[in-house]
Amino acid sequence: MPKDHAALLRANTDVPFEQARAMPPEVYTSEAFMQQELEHIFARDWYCVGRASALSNVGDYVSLDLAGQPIVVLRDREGDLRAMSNVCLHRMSTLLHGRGNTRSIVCPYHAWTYNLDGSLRGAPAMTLNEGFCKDQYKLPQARCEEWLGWVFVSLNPDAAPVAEELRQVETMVAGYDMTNYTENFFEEHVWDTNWKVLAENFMESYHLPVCHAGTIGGLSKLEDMVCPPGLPAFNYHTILKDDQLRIAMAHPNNTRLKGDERRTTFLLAIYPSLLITLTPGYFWYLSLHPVSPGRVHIRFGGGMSDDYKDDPDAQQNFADLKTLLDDVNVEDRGCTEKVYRGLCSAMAAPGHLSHLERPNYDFAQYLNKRISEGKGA
Amino acid sequence: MAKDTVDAAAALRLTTARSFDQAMAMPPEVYISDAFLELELEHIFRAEWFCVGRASALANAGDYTTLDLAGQPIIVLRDRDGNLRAMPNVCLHRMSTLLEGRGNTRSIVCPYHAWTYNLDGSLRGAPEMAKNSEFCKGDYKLDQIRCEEWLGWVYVTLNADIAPVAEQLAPLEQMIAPYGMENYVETFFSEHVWDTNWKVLAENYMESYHLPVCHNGTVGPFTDLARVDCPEGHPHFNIHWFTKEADLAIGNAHPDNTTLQGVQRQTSALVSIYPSHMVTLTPGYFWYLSLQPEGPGRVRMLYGGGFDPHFANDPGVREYDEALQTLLDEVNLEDRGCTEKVYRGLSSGLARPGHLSHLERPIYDFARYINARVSGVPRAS
Repeated sequence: MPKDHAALLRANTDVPFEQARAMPPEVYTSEAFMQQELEHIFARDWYCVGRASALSNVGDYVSLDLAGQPIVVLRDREGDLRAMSNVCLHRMSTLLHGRGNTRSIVCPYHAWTYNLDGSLRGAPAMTLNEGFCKDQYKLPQARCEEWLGWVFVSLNPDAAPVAEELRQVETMVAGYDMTNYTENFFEEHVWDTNWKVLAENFMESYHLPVCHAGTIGGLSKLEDMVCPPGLPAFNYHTILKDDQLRIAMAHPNNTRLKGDERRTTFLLAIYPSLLITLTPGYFWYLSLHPVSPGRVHIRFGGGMSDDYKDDPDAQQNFADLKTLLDDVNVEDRGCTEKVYRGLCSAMAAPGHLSHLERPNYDFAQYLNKRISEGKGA
Repeated sequence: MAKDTVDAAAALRLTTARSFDQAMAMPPEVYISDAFLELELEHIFRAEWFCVGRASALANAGDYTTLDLAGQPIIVLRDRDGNLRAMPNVCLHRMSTLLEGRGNTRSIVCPYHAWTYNLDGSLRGAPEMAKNSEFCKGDYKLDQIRCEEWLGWVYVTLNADIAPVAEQLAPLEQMIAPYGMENYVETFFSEHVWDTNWKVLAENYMESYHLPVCHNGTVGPFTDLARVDCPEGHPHFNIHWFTKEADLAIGNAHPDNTTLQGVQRQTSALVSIYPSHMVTLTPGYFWYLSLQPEGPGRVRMLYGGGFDPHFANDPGVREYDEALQTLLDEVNLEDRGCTEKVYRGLSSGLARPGHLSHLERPIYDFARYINARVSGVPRAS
């Protein structure tokens, strides 16, 4: 009889924070548990595909797989963002791949061609099929919403709107004016670890001094980290940064942020898997999706606040920052892949959490809620 | 049970039911099947002793080596009391692996959050944990894994009940006593991965039938198959003997070596300690492999060697070492070619096992050992 991983997680999360432990290894390594995550989390919650500015022109598109469903997100002729099934209505090939701009969606198999709203524009050599009627064909639509410059999609028709779920985030970081951050890099990667290991790595800064000893570890002071309790749809912690990195500070033109806020970095973990480092001057983010228990697909992007757009050195500063981020990511990759190797060992057992791992505790509570509600449904 | 497991295990049972004078090679399925590999991991690699190398590589307090044994990351180290210890290489906090590769350390510091362990596995300290009311440093200690030293070798096992190494290998210890293997000095060590099944490489080591052909560019021409002796194997090892006028000075006993007598001075022992520790023990030098599977078609090997103390202390040892390593590199290249060709052949739909030569006696014994383990025959002590 297979182990009940959901029951293990339930027992693990059924303790107060002051006694918390890391999640049990099985929730990271089990294929069956990942299937539950796909069903009850990735097919139900909002998933971030990136920044709206990457889809600013008509015909700009990005493709992705969400819980096994190929999706295309694009800017249609009315200027609206749309998400649709990226699967042809004929012999079910996927349609678009990667990112780009297109005038119409042409299937690479038999050239069935769709308009940007998903309606079928034409299909060659179909007139002899009496049942075929072009107008009856339209790609199924998925939900797609924009919030503070982010593009989210969901396969769940009943999901509450993003702006409603994340209202508290919006209030909390209002002074940053996140809508006005412009993305200037975007990359996709796959690492050999579980998606939750990478998410948890982002949620806590307890690892910075050690894991990042070669880069930012020396600048990280554990006593300057604040880890408040999380909320239902997200958790966060903050770090006060000193002015060694100018672009992490509020620009002099920014009069919205006051006092310590001007040097406060927010680390936002929006469930399930959008992780944003938001500083007053720049931001970067990860959006994660499992490929398998031991592999995670990563959408990685970032850029600067428009407060800096007329600043002569800002772009160079950001280019330097990107080099640093790449080095930091190499360290995070090392640590998170080591964790996955450890998790796969028969002798792995979860230890207690530090108060600096509060967000991890909250994340485990969220996962448990989704999985047990999903199973109960 | 999955169909291919049944088929592979059943096919092996038929093969190993034959008497030696009608013996055949093992069926292809036992080399290429994922399900059979799972049986091997469970009944062999998680159940038997595995050699991690020479104790002399872990001579000083804090010397360590790391390995994965059947998926379990392990540290082997010399602790402050001078004892060898093996422990899971997995942090007790968020379960990262701890140490990498080989080296020397004063303590074990997790690379993730700096939880720090003493060399006995007890937790020395963990930053920022005071606010977790359940956390008690004294409750945390890395589990201990069995670790034993025998004739200079270090073995570990995940099996709490297996008999000690020295007990299992007592007959072997007697047979090779004149060589004084415990005093051989390791001079080189490295790790490699080849694209073949671990048993193909193990079997390649066990028989010298292939030397004249596979090794015709190196040691083949020095090989006289008439001087190979393949006695029946034992429950925990097999051995065959090879007598030759060595092509290298170091192949025969050193002039100062008075322990080895007569034909022994030109005789090498080729020892296969089950499941996967292979030692070529010559009067002057030794080299070894310790194998484990990384998938049916890949084998990870620990590879090392060195000299008997007479040669090790000889002023010419650096030259000898260079000559030996050069020769072995060439020999290994030939073995890699042969064993990877075998795996390609085994993977083919039309592959069928043929009869074994009397010079392949150790392979017959090895197949019977594998069959006994995976079919759960009680182990001989």
